[in-house]
Amino acid sequence: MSNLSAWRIFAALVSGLVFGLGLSLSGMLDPARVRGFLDIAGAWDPSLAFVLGERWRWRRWVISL
Amino acid sequence: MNGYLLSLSGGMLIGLSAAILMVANGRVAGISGIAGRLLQGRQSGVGAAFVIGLLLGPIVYRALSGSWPAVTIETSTPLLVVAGLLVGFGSRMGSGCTSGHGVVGLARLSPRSIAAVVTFLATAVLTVWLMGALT
Repeated sequence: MSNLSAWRIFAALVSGLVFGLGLSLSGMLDPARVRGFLDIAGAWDPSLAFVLGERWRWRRWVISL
Repeated sequence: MNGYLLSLSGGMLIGLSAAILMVANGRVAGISGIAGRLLQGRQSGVGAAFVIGLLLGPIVYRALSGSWPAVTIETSTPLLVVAGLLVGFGSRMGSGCTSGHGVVGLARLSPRSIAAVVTFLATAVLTVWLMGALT
């Protein structure tokens, strides 16, 4: 295996790990939280909008590179 | 910690993750697509490594915080099976899910992703309202 593909696989592992940590931390792994976010006619929990917004900001930053 | 702050930090991590995959591999962090190709056996080590990392996420979270992330499932199993099938079918038909369209597509201002996200958010809100009205 070349160094480049080893590096790519390692980067994918780290990326997956960071994604999983982000999901855990943000509460998006909890179906009840996700439903709370979607329940705008009931007891709306807007916090997941922050997850979406923040993800967006990062990606804009990468595009600017 | 405050719930909003947690959501903000979690969102930062998810965005950072998508950025790493894009910079290092030039790949869109679309979980349904990666998992689908993996199950069809036509996926490189990169996709497998991403999924392994994804599954390690909650384990590392537990190691750091001392507890598993909360998961509350109130829905009955038959309904969950139907819902899962619909999600799988819809994300294939729409060429992506919350991660590919919602994280990467929206940030790239892809019209297709914007259409997908608006559609699935609106449908989800409607479904939650309908299910609440029916039960």
